[in-house]
Amino acid sequence: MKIEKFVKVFSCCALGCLIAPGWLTAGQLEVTSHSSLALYERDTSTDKSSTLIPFYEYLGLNYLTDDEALSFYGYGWGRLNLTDNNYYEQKNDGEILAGYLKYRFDKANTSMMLGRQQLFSGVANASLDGLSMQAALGASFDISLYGGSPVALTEDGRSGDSILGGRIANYRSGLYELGLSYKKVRNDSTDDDEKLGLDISLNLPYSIGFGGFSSFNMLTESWAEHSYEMLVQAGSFQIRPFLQLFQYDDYFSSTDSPNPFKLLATTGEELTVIGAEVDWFGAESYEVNLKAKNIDYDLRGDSSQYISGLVIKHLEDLCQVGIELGVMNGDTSQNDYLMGRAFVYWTRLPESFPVEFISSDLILVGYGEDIYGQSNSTFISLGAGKTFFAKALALKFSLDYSSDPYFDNDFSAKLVAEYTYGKE
Amino acid sequence: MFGKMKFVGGLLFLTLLLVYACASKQGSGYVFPSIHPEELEPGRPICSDCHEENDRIVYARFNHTATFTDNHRLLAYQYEQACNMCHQQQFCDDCHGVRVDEKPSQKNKTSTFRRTPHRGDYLARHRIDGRVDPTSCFRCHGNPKTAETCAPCHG
Repeated sequence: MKIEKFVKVFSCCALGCLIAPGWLTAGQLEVTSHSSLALYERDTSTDKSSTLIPFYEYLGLNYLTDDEALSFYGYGWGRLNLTDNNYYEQKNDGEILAGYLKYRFDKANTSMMLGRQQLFSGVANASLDGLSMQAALGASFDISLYGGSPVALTEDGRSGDSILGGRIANYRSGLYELGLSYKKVRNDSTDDDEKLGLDISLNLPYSIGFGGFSSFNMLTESWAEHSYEMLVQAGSFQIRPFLQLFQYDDYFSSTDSPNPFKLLATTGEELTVIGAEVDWFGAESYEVNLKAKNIDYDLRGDSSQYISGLVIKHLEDLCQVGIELGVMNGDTSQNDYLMGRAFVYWTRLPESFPVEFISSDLILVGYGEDIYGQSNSTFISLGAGKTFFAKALALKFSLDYSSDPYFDNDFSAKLVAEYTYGKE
Repeated sequence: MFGKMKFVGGLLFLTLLLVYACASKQGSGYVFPSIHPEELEPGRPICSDCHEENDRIVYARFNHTATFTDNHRLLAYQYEQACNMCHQQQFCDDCHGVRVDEKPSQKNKTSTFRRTPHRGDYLARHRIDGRVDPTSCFRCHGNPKTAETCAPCHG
């Protein structure tokens, strides 16, 4: 049986087995549904300005047994193209993004997950069909291990594909955490990617934190990345200097690197990013963020700089209004741009209003050199929404306009229905 | 054959480790609860408002500042379980899902507070950001499946 089919069958069976004995109660099952209907125009290979009406459904299931030991989580999306055109490579499409059983053991804070899952652990940032576990080993170590078939490499079949790895961490609360991680990916029975990672987090005196991550490419036998940051808290200020180093030949070198990254893996380039961010949480719920970074190239012998400023007024919940300005000073004029953004998510509306929130986004960009004959772009989005049935159902509507190098006077509309069942 | 043996050996090692962990009589250190013990108020959490810095993690690094979305990568590599206390996988999959048709900003058009990437003219601007620092593109589009969105132009 193909693994793709197995994942679908496994997900359905796992949920069925959990529900079938009659364990189900309303508080244990959570179903989330995000349905949307969009309307816009796009050029296709045969028609100009062809109308598209895609319908999307994102469905999530989360089931937890009464003793909270065993759970099932599933999530996926599907798309129906309601118009007759060839814009999409496949008219109707979909994907299961997650479908796993999770068991938490009473002892040693151990848990296991079986099925399709997304992993972020040290050098791993991968989706796999397989098994993973996490456990505490004594008072100062914990470990995670995983193995299975990588979902990202399914395009050329899954025979001979595997992913295996883990992370072990040693920590002392209030002082440090040190992690060592490993990942090996094989595609069609040949080594595709093998990395060793080292991560660290230090809790230093005077409210100073330090953390970061290095990865060593075991196939090219050289360092791929070093990324480290410091965090200093001083009153209402939070300062975050950071440093990143990348070696292209080792960072992009996976044999399955797609274009355009495959070409970069043979350039010998080294990239150094150094910068800092300052956040100020001021009076009256204002937040100000300033960011500056320098991006330096070893072989190109030049550098780019990005500077941005952001001011947000936060109110209750997520109600906020903000403005942002960003300047990219590239190594050549074709890499320059100036970006301005103003955004609103407003919930403080009079009760007589027919909606509970309004949202708006305005993005203006000017380019250092024309892109397809255009020197600037404009994007405007207006939205509104309202909840029903004690916030179990939310209806949202948005209307967008954009004029940029790719789309000239482009309008689009979208209607979204979000439904949650069983959330307490 | 050798690959299969290593895979089976890995699973065996995993099982033995699990048995050891379950049988361990030692006291356990701090592990992250499956959900945040106290219900958080809606809005952006500023973790250091409540947590002191004598715990396992440096809570100020988790403060959801205006640009936290841009900077959470290193924390997720190290403390995925801390993220899982509040976020289910579907929240992460909006951006990190291995194959998602819609851009995060297309799926969540009205969520202007979420600072979703690739908003507005980004199709045009990615030409510049990609030339300036392609490592940031590679993290999400660096495998054949997540690069399907790149393929129509980049081959």
